[in-house]
Amino acid sequence: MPAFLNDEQHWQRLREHLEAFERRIEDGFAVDAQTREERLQARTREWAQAIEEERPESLIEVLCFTLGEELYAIETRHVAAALPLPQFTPLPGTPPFVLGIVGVRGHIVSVLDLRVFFQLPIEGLSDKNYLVVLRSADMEFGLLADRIRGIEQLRRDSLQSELANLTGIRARYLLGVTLDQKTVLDGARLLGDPDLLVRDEE
Amino acid sequence: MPLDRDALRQRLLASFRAEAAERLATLADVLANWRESSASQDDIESLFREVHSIKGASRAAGVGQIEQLCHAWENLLSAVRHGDLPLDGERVELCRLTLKVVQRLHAEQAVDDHELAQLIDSLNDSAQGRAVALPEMAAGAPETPRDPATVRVTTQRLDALLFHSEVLLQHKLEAQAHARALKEHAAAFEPQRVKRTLGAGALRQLRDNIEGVPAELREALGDALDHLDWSMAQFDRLHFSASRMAKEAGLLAVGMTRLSESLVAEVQEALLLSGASLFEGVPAMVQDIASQAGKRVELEVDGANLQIDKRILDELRSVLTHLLRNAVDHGLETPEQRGLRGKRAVGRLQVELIQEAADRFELRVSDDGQGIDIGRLKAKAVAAGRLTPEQAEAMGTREAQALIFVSGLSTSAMLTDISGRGLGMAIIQDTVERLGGRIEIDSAMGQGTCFHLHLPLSLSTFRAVIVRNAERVFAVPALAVERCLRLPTSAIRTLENRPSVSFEGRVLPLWPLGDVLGLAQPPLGEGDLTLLLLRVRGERFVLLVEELLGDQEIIVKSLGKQLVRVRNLMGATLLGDGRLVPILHPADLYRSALASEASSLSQQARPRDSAVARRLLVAEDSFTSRGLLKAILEAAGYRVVTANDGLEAWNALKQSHFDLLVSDVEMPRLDGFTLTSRIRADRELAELPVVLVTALHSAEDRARGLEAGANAYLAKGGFEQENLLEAIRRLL
Repeated sequence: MPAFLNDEQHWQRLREHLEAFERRIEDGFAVDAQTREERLQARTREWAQAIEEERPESLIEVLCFTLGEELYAIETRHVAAALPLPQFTPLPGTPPFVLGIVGVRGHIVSVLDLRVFFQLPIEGLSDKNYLVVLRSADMEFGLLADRIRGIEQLRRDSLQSELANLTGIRARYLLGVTLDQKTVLDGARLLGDPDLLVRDEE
Repeated sequence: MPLDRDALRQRLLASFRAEAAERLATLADVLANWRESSASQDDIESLFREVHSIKGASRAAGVGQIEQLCHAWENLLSAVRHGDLPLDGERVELCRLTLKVVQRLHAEQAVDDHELAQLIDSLNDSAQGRAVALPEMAAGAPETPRDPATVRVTTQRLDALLFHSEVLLQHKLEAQAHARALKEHAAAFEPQRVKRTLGAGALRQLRDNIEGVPAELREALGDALDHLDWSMAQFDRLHFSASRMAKEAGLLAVGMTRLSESLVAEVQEALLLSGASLFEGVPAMVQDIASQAGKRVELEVDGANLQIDKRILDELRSVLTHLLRNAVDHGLETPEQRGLRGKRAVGRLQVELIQEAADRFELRVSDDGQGIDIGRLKAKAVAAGRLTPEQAEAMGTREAQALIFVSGLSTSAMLTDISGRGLGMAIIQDTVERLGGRIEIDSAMGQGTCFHLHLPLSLSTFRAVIVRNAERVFAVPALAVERCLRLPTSAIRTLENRPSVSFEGRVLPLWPLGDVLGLAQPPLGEGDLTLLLLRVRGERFVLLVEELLGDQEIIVKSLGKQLVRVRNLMGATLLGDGRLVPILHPADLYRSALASEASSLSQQARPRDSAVARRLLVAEDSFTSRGLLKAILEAAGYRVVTANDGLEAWNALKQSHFDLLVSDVEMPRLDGFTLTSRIRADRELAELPVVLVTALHSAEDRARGLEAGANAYLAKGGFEQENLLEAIRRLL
């Protein structure tokens, strides 16, 4: 309390406070007129906001995972399973993006390393390795992932599909980038790309 | 619950489709046989029954068009069946026509209403054309009673069961590993117990003489002794529960093993189907091809009762189709040509399934056509640059016949290549070899061709030799392995810079497996060489591998949908210990070997630099980290062996010599700290340099690592290869 107030002034201030409290008690603890006005205005603004209808077809459900320093997402309709990466077996004579094969529930799935496509640095020791198995009627393979971050709903129109530094092969497999900088992969394109097939001629 | 009409209809339709497909296949086969031999009463009966059943089923499923058509057809057949009408050529043709339309309707192809009406009219006319009043509709002959103990299961279900049984196999292995680990854990209590007995005397002495201890210490000592008592009791409880858990885990593992083994055996058994399923639709197909090619064929099928693994039958279906198509298109002559050569106008095709041994069978496909023209085949091969004229000249009949398996040459020399399939026979050979079989040809000019496909009855009887080379394990189909040899290094001779060995009087080319596969080949060891003598399609060659791990039965699996075909590999298999191992493709290996660059052996033959590469052991449970470490260290010129955890590393260290250990700290079974302490405590290993690489980078951890006796401690956070290599260089 500032020093220049003398005792009388203190008493005066106290009395004013008490009067204010009394008034509020009489009014049944109502807020003062100004606060009341402000609150009503705020509520009006809130209610006046047009409700944006979340149409189900405008939402896509994606599985998010990290790979290296980056965050990726892929539509869950292409995902058959996400599991800790079992011990894999590297194969001789396969292109660099094929990390090897793993056994998943009795059958064999090849493991692709997206870092090779996206020219991400393939270094650094990471201990958490997961496999995201993508499947369509006539294709199946697993993508290497560092960590699974869970499932999210994304608005399809929130995806930004042009990004200056996304070109060539990087852009080819992308559906777009979200505002929080998740890279959304084009699962249908990945699964349907004949270039990903390994078919050595005899 | 309200009846969902739509769903019900869908279900009915689905079951109608399945049933009709089966019946139509039977119908097609019966009708196909009527072409060359007259129909017996039995055939007419069975035809009538099938048509009647399809009619009934289509009515139930509400497929009106099929129902109408089958109704008219049934009327005609009914008249024939009762002997009221003769079954002449015209009527057989009408039946075929009707079948075609029903098949189209069944395949949901649009059929013109007018066409349908016309066909129904013809059927009715034919049935009534002889002015015979139609007899009363007889109720359909009763269904042949089915064995109530037999049920129908779709083969997809069986496939699913097979997958499950393999997953269970995996869990069994895991349960066994857990049981072993728990047993070791319980056993780890033992030394403590032994030491306690030794220390018991000292403790008793302390306790007895507690009065003699200065008073101010007496209480503290008493407390300490009490604490010790409590700890020991606690220790006993833990020991007891560990023993109990080990025992329970052991029982669980035994139970899982028993269950898994019997399930696998049962499923294998259930997967045996009768050979008849291979022949389904074949007679009709052969007649179709024959009509298209303007030829006449009589097909004889034998051995339909043989029980064969479904997975093999699945693969054989396209093989058989291909062989029969070839036989009709290229093997058999036209009726005129046959007439000129004094043969029956109708060509003979024979398909037989013959059991050769307890676990093998033969699929024999023979025709009495013109046979393989070796002269033309050789000329073709020379023209394609596959052979020199001299080679062609020197080639024996058998070798020359095998030329049809060479891509691009296959069928063309046999006559005209209508469909332009130059790859056909090569694919057939590939399929047969992948199934663990082989293929032989018998052919005499002008008299016919016979293909003998020798195959295993069950896929579980595919044998493979398991080898290890440069830290990787591979399976080699045993069928291709003629011998496993151990020869001294001096047995290798180099001819024109190509290594070779001589064996039983013949000089055979030799390639290190790593060179063939394009992988690093480890330098030759001190002892004898391990060699595999392979024989692939008549060619013999020798592969040098690091170690032979044994031979066993394996199940061949494809590499998945994305890896359609990978050079040098024919698939992969799951070994008993849960490891997934690639299966090498012997024919590819030979091709790759011929194409491979200068052998690593010729370089090794030169005196090596005085500095022999240092041997490092990397212990790391994360395979990514393990692979990375291995790559970094190998790039720096070290020889690297890896271990999956501390215990494996310890065993490796005890078994062979290493110059340095790079180890992770957090590992299952035995962590890096404990591993380091053990090494320091070991008489032979005490001096081994140890580098710990870890994600734990607190000061305490660092201190703990160095206290345990590590020579260097690198945190993964700031991990750079230079640091690691620098540390290693410093220590070696």
